[in-house]
Amino acid sequence: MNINPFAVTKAVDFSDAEIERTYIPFSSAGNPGIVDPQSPMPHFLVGAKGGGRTHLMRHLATPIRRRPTLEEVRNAGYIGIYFRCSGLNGSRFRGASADDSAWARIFAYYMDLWLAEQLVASARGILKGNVLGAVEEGFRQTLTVILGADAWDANYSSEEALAALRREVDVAVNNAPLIGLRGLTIRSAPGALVFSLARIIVDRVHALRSCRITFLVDEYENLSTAQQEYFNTLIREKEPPVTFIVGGRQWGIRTHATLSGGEENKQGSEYELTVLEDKYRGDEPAYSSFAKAMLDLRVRATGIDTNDVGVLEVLYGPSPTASDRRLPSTGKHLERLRRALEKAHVPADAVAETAMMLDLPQREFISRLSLLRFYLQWSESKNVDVVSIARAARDWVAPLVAGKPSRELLNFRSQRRLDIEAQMYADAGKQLPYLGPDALIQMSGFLPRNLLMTLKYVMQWAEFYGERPFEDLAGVSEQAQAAGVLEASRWFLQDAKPFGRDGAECEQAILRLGRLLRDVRLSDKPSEVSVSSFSSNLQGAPEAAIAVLDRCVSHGLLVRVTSGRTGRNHGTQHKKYQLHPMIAPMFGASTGRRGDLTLTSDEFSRVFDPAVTEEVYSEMVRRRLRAMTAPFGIDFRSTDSALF
Amino acid sequence: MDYSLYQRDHFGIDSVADVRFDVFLSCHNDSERVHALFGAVSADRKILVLQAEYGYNPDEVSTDGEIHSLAFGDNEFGQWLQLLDSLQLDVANCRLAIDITGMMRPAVLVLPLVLKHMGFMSVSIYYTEPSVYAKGTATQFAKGNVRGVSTIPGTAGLPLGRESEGDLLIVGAGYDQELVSAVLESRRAALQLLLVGLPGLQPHMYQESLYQLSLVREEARDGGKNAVLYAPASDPFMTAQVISDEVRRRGQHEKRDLYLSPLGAKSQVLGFAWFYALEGRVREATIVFPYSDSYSRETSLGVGRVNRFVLEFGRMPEL
Repeated sequence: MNINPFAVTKAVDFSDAEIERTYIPFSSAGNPGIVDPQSPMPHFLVGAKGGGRTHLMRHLATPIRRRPTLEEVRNAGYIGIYFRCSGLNGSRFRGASADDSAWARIFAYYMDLWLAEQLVASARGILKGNVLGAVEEGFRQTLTVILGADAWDANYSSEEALAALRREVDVAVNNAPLIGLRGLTIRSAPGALVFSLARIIVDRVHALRSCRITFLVDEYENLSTAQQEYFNTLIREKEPPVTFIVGGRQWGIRTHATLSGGEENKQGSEYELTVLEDKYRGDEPAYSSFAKAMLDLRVRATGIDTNDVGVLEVLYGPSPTASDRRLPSTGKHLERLRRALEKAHVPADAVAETAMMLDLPQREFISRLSLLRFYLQWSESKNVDVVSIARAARDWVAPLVAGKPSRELLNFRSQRRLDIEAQMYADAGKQLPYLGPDALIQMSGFLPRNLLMTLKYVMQWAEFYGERPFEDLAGVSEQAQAAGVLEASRWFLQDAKPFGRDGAECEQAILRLGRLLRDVRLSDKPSEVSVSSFSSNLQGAPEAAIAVLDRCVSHGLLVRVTSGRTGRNHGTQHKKYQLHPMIAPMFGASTGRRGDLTLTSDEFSRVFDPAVTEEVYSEMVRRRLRAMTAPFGIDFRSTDSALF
Repeated sequence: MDYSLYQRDHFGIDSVADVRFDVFLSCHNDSERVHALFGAVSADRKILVLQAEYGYNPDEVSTDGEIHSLAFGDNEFGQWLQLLDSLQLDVANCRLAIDITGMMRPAVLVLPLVLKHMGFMSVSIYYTEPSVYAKGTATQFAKGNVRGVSTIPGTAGLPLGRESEGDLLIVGAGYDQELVSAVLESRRAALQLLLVGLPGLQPHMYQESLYQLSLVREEARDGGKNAVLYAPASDPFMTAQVISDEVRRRGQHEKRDLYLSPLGAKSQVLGFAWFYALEGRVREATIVFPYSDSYSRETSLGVGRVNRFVLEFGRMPEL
């Protein structure tokens, strides 16, 4: 059985030691880092699944988990305390035994106890001897002031006292359905415990007086809106040395509202917010280096020596150039040409001559290029002399075979190459391969886990086909790559979409959009080059369709394009969205972002409105493709046929 | 804990009337097997419960029994207690039987706790197997959106208050793989085990379960052969035994939070509930469930074997 270096794809599956061993810093030009744990400004770290958020946050908490010396903590400049909100089990703070406001108060108290307990446990992990004794004394005095002397057993340590009080809440909440919440006392004002106890540490430990105490709060989406409001209040009213780094899914940040007089925390004032994949997207070369380093490290960790060759190069070889490709030839493009000319009632001899003119045996790619040129000229001129147009098209591409192609021709080939290759694979009934390191990294959509998942599936398929990619550094076959990429693509759609009806609606919209983009790309005369995006002004579109669009974006199925060609082409009213590159292989679409298909609001609705039937959607697609499909509505019976 | 001591038997629908009860309580849905048992059972009082989650109103249902409406929502304990109080049963002497075939899963999960709390010493639980699920592997038991994976109130356990890498999540894998995925996603840091019915309720159901499982395996963390547990789908006591053994085996060296989420056949759900009642609550386990907007009224076809499980509350810890 082959070793699969990419088998572990989630940071939660790693031990602390593995987190450190596999951690790769993302360094971007002129950028000090993604997040600064010493900064007093709270920071939300959000994004889609698989951006590396948990890995980063656990890495930031590492120093404290290693039981460091005081010197090490002082040098780090902060005490990072990591926890997952799922551990709070927040969903239990509800039910008929109390009203919502009572549950909110109980949760706030519980959260304070939880944070305080984590803080005290962390202090005990760092401090020793007399220093610990002094801090513990401070903790106990503070607990007595805040909670009252009768609230806890005097024989308890501060950590035991907090654990006992938290347990008191646990038991009361658990018994609430049977006996109600009677007997539960909330003993502290919101926030008082954690901020006061944190102050003790920096006041009583000289070496730590400049240190920040940074709570690294992961899986924020596990808190309800009301619970997040309380946490947002802590963020707003935080007191030094405490600060927060909050991690969660983008859709899981439900609110920035607080309980402080209804005030809402504002980005830039009360918090900073980083979307991890946007950070990566802002420096593509840095992301590419980061991704390659991540993979290389994993391969080497399994003991495989790639002899200083990058792992992706070992697996896939260097990124292929146009001349490397062995494209499948079928001749089907000429069959379609003949049918289109016949449909336009072109005389039979002209049909045969036109097809012959554009047929370049052994050079199907160039033949298709000339055919595309022919379609562009023919549809524009609607000239009945198709033979002359075909001859001109053939002569135009001829320098690609022999001679010196013009810059215009080279640009034309460069622009249309990927679309023509996609058509050749589709005609051959083969999956379009996404070959080479750059394509795979681009496909990940700036989410490192996607790259790992893709490689994991590719390796599984390689094993299925009996390949041993690392054994003799032979690499992975195109067949295994294609199968792995397609499986990763399907996985992504299922993994990223929401659960339930919301997810089904998103899936329907994405499948419809993908089919539309595929049909445009595979049409005789695609209106856009390497189309993978759409834009629309969305005016008048039904709310239900907009809601599905928003969900697709927040769950990472679509990428909102906020700059670039949109503004120039359509003005600011148009919004542009790219099919997530992980989904592109399902439809043989481009993983890059080039052409975008402009949709009217009606067309947009037919894709995204869950109430629109398949028939109504298909009618729109047929209408839309008419102008891209030969013979483009041309019928020579209704034109001057004198030339024949 | 030896769960094999608990009494269970099974019979055909024609033999159901051989045992007589004072009160028989069933939860209504459109399944033929629910109606068949309700008609066949012999009891002085027959009570049909309409659950709001199925969207029934009393006008839709005709029965010669009493009809009561419940909206379990997130108040399963409260709704059960209210209903059972209103029936004014002589708890000490009442021979009570309850059919869980059409019952919402969260309601099944708290049932042993409620019955213990009420003071019953023993209650017969019925579950009738289907011949097939209506749409095979595509059968969806929940409709609409998954509102969230939540603790069932009263089964919240007592979190240890530290990071949750060592936590253990056992999911009773049902056909609805999306629900399974939702639960796995909600506890993604935990060690995740999937409990599959083997043998299934019908021979083909094991194969169908495995197929569905293949769609969610990517989520399961343990990855290796230990990621799947097996227990007979129709035997709640063996289900409880398998969970008990696994928890003990994995918890020998370290205390960890334990999460349970039964999404399979109701007989399996009862096994989770029985383990929780006898051991899980004391061990501070938590039951989590993917609550949905609504649930399918009809998911199966045919009337299979009728199972009876006798819950005896003598060994169950006090609440």
